[in-house]
Amino acid sequence: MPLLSSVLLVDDDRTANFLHKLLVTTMGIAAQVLVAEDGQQALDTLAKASAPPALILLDLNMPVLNGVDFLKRYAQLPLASPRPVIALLSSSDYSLDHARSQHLLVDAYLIKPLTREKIQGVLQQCFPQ
Amino acid sequence: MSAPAVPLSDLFTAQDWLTLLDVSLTGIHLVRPVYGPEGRRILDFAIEYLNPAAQRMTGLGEQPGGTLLGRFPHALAEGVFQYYQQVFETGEHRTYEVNYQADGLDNYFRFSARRSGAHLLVSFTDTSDQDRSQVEQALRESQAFEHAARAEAEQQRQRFLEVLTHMPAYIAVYQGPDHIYQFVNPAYQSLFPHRSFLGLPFREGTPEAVALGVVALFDQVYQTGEPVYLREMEGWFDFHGTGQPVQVFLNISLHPLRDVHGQLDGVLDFTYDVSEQVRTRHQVEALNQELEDRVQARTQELHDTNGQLRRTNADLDTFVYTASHDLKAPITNVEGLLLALHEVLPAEVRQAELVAELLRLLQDTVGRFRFTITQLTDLVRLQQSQSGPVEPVALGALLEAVCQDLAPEIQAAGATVHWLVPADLHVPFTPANLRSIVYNLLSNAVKYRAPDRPAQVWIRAEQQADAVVLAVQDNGLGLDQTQQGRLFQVFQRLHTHVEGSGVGLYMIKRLIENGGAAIAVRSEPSVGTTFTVTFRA
Repeated sequence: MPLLSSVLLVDDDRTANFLHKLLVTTMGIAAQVLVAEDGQQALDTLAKASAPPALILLDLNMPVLNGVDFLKRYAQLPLASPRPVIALLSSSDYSLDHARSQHLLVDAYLIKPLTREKIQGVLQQCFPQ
Repeated sequence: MSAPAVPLSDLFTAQDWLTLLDVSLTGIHLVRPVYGPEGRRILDFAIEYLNPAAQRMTGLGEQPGGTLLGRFPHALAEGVFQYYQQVFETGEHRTYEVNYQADGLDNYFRFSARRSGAHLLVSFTDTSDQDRSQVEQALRESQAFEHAARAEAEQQRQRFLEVLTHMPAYIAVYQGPDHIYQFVNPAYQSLFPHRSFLGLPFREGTPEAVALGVVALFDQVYQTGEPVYLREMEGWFDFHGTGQPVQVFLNISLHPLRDVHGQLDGVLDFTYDVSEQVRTRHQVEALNQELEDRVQARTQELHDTNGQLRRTNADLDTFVYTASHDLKAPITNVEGLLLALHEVLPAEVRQAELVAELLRLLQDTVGRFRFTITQLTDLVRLQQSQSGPVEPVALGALLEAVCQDLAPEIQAAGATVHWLVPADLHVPFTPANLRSIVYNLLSNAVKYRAPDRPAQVWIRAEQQADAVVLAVQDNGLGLDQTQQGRLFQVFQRLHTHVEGSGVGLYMIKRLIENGGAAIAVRSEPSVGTTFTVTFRA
């Protein structure tokens, strides 16, 4: 039984997107999985979607519009309801620490590779029911 | 003159004449001419008799013998002999006056003489033989005093001139407002062998001095009476009369000279040549300047090279960081793919012996790769961020925190950590860097334990005269000499059976040395290793 209506995966790395989609699908936690390959595509996807996704897995380091810039642009949009849970991803804990210090609208910071346990942690923390 | 009533020859007896000679206050002597071989020319006068007055005045006896010129050689120069000769030859009565200052006599003599047959009779008075009036006496004494003083002054003047003459300086004396050369010493003259100075005004004798302003200084000294000193005045003089001026540096002293009444009447010029000293100093200064320029050029070069190196270093850092970062994404993917593979493989395949082993090895390899990349990234980050502020760090508290962080590793290794650190011991260092150092040393001591004995680690620290020394000793595997030599090089893993990238010791050595401290190692295979860090305190 899927817990979430939809999940948006944002990563320029297709392998990462493939793996993350596989993980989310295998775990069966979402009815719909959307994929964007950079921040700009993510904004476009959000604009076209009928309802906001429940969870966004956002990579930090991307071309065109990176994770941090996406968040800044996203913060200027009208507030979606319910507000999506956003998890920021990076393969560098240093970059992640650096992002953490910028007080962004982020609910979780996850070091790659993404695992079943890490996703479950986010779900438990942000979707307690 | 009327004729005497009685002829004198009758009136005076021979005895009377002799008595008269004896009592006369006037000196009387009798001389006879001495002729040359031809018998005509008078060469001298033989002295035949002196009366008592003459004896007193001349200091001779009554019949002393000898001749006029024999006894009084200056009689010729003073004209006395000529007078005698003329009187004798003419037969006339003549008088002569002379101030005779020679041959032991010093007086004013008046002579009166006349020929008497073959003899010449001479009478003379000597002013010194007379009683003098007090006024005359005083006058004579004053004259004698003045004479002596003049002689003394003359002697001093001579001595002074002699000193000036032999001084190794250029000395000249000038007189009057036009500074007429009165004296130049030989040194001065030898400077300008082609010129003659005496009697010329300074501005003509040394025309170069006009443009140099020295003539104006002479005027100043002459007008104010104040001496003037010039140090290392540069001048160009035509010493050799070739029209080619030569550069010299002179120290010049100009002193006012005064006459006996204290009136300014001249200038003494005392000059010496300091060209050699000045040129030597200029040379030294030039050399210094050259040296300074070279040092500056060299410093600039070093500065440029340093800048280049800095940029190269920064580029390298950026490259390493980017490379490690770019490597991180694919390795993360490989790791994720491996995990996914794990999940999708059917259980029976996953558990097949060979597949299980392959998966394990793959997982291992990926883990090591990832660890190395992380270390590489850390290394670059370390280079970028090791310049934190230095502050006193309490070593005891820091050790306690590190031990707590490493507690799982220490426990897993079954190691015992003993530490002996004075409670108040502080080390001036960047706190985060000091923590990295201690963490790495303790972590290594536990990691490289000997498998055959319980691991023991001793940490000691002590304050020495001008240093704090921290020693971390273990009873672990130890290192041989070759290994010790490679210990602090980057990516040197000396033990292959344990986890590690080989970056750790290289990093802490850099941290230690950048912080002005030093690290040394003493080790023996299968006995243990001691790392000693010496911090400047």
